[in-house]
Amino acid sequence: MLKTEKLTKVFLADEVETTALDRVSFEAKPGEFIAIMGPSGCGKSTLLNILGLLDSPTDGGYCFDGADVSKLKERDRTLLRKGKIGFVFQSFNLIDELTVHENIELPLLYLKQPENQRKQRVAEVLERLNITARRSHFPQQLSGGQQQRVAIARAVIAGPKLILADEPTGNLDSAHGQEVMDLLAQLNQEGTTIIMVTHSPTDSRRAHRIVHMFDGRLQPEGVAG
Amino acid sequence: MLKHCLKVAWRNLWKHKSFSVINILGLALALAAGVFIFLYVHYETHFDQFWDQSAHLYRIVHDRHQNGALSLRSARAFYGMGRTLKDHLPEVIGGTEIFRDVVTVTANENRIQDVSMFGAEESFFDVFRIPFVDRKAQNPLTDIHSAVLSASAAVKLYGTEQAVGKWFKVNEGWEFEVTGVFKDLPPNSHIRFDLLLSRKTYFYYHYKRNEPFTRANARDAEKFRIPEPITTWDFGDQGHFAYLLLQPNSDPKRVAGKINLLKDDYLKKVLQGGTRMEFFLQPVDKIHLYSNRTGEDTANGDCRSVWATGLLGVVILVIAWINFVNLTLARSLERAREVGIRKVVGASRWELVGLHFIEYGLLNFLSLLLALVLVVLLHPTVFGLLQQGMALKSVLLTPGFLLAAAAILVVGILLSGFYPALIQSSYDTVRLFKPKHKASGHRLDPRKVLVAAQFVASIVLIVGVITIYRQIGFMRNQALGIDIDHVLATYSAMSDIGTPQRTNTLQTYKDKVRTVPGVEAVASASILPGKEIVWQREDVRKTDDLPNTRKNYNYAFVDHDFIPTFKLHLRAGRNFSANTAAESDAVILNESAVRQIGFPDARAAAESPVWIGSKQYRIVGVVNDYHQESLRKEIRPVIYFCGYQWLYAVGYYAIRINSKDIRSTVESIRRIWSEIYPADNFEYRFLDDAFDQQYKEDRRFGALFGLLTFLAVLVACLGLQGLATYAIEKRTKEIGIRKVHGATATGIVLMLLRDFTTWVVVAFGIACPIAYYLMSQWLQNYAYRIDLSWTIFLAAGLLALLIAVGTTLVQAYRAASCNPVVALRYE
Repeated sequence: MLKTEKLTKVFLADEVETTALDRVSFEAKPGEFIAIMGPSGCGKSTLLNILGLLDSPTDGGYCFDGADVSKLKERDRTLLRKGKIGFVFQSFNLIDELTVHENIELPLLYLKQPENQRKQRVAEVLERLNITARRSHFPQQLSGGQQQRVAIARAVIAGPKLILADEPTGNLDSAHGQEVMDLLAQLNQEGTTIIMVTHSPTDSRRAHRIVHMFDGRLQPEGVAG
Repeated sequence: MLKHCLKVAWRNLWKHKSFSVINILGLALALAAGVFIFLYVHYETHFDQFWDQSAHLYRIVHDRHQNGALSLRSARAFYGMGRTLKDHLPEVIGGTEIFRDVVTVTANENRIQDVSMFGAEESFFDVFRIPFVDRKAQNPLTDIHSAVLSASAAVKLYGTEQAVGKWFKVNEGWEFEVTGVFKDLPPNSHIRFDLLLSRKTYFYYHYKRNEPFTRANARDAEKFRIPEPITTWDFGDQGHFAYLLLQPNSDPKRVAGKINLLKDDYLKKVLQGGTRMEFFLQPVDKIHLYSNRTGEDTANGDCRSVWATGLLGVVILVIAWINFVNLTLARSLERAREVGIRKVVGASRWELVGLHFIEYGLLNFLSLLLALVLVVLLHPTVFGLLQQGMALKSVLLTPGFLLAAAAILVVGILLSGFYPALIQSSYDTVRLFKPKHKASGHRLDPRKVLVAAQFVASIVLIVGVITIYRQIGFMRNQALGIDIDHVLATYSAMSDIGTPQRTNTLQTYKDKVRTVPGVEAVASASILPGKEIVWQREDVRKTDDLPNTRKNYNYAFVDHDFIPTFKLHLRAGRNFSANTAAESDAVILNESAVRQIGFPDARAAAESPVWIGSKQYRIVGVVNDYHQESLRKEIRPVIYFCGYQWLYAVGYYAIRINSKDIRSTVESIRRIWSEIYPADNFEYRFLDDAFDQQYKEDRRFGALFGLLTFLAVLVACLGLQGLATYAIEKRTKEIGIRKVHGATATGIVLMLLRDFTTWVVVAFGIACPIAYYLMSQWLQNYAYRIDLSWTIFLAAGLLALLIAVGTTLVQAYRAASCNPVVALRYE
């Protein structure tokens, strides 16, 4: 599915260089559910962003779906990303001015799908995630758990092969967190590859494999961080 | 506490530099425009207030009715009125009449041309109490040959020497003695003059059968008295301006009523037949903006355009203040957390109001300082555009202006500081700390409404500018019906006025000029295209009309060369023949006159008899209508007589040139002129330039309006820019999310632009009817005007759209091309 070779990311802020990722080599096979764990600031989110083609590495190689994507321009990354990768964020990142329906529809809009298809697909996903009743609400009118379900609905709407989740339960109470994790596990069983950054040991147990990070480096497999 | 407030205010300004710059610059530009407009309106509305007793000074004007129809609204009155009224009416302290001329003055080697001069009597100083620099006697206009000069004219003639007591020559050699020098008048006066000549001199030499006005001829001058008492105002001309100084508490309407009772005794000849006349008193300080009668001395202002300009100034200021409020409110959310913390630690609402108030006051104050710097730097340019006579110092440092500046500052701070401060301090503390605090999502955003309002104003102004320039272009390019290109025009020679050989001299001149290579034709006439035809008469009728049929016609005297020289077209009949004597009962009419007199067409008019006064004439030809004056004025019915009757007044010589070497042709004409008229200067101009001068005022108005529009648009752009910055910042997260889900940079840019331009489109919809109404009103000033075509509105709308897109494009692009990871990091 994807493979990185000595991936390095250096941030420049106020003339101070920060190495967020330090020669990270990482692989995910199709259908895997991987949890990335580590303390705040260890580079988890940066790795996720690069894996999700939102950001480009400073150095190193990245092969996504059989193609080298480490040197792609933003425009091409966008094209490649569309429909193939879904994102779930800790802070949901829903657009406040759009309704639940419209938020979920967004990726299809950018895939230029015709309206009737979009409507049908959104209806299916709403149904599946059990939020049909909330379709005309605005994000502020929903609970956190509901908002995250909308975010997941948006992540899966285009049928991506890969879902990247950045602390999906971080802003939720345990009951709602449980629900969200159930959803992700279910999606995984249906064949979607999932890479999830988390602080929660409970959540990480749902994964097939746990990867630990520290100071921008990957810890050897099986060693707890 | 105040120190703390100022410190915080200054840090905030510094931290948000771009906001501060936009705010200060926008407000400063508007304030500078406001100051200029204030100075202009002040100048225009303060004409003639410098005279001593100006509140009690009145000019006598009259309306003339012919058989019940208004035929003339004259700015002038009759000689003798002032003295008669002073004798008869207790309300009148002083009365005087003046007549105007433009002369050449020579003293030793120094010569000044185009000196504006008034013929005046001793009584002039009873009414206009002008301050003297030097004078020979208490009243310097008592004696024959006496003359009073302005200080600047005296310097031009005599340098630093004392002028009083010296003799100088007027025109071809009339001699006058300087008996007084007065302080130069301010430029905002409805009468402008550098020279007063004693009116009595003219009378004296009139009685002495027109001898030249020389010292040698003034043998018994001391004994000469103007006949007393005045028994008539009927001296056959209405060329005098008449003024009265009234008692402080008298009612000018009652005085005018008394004049109208007296007039029948004094104007017996004029009031014969169907003529009725009504006199009015005009306050002198209202003449400039409100009079606008036939025969004014200086071109009058137009109160409508003055007030329109004033209104424009207010609009610009309001736009700037709206911007200010807009930008401030835009930023207020960012500072919501600060407000919350301050409230938590114990600030009262009014303390918070005060805090913000000080910050906005500081902004206003900095803007005002910058505005004053701009005014000082730009005033030479702007004054050149506005009005030559305006002076910065005379107004800027007056208590009135300083008071107005202070008032603007206070109003500005109150309007633009208090409101946002009040809003900002009213946020609910608990809500402020919620991470998701947001302005209402789907209601009408007042900030966008404010920006839309600015664009309404901007679009109206842009429509205005385009309309003004199109109208000016239309007037300048419209076919005039007369060919004035390559026509050189001079005034008729002055030195042989009234001499019997004058016609022959003119004939010689014309014949000689015609032989110059490159000269196509030479004509002489009492009129010149580009100049108002002053002569009017009403006693014109067809032979089958009733004798009291009266309609107003212009009339002119032309020679047989007039029509070919100006390439006019005969619609019917023939031109005058070269034998002037044989044409003494022939007239040519223009098409408007044919219509007005009541002939069905040109052919029917030609060879028809017509009554003019008590004499029957033959219409020998009909000539096409042409624009005698600018397209502001309607084409009037004109009757052309053949002959040289104008020789007792000013006439014009016109020479059509068709030459590759214009300079040498003109030089040849000059030589002939100096040979035939050695006493007259050869002063010429090309008629197309002179005609174009009529649009000078329109062009100046256009330039001024354009400048103001530019300012208004600039200020509106600054507002939009600020709003866009804020809106894009607010949507950073959304942009990030959209990009994560596959939006392209172009898509994001289009989305953002659509949001901003929607309001421009709404503004366009509102602006169109307003602009249409205002500009149709303005176009009413012109007899010949453009249609308000939809293309003007389209152009203005597209321009506004372009400006809006141009203003926001860079920011939108920057936001759209930003890495979505960076965008989402804001969370």
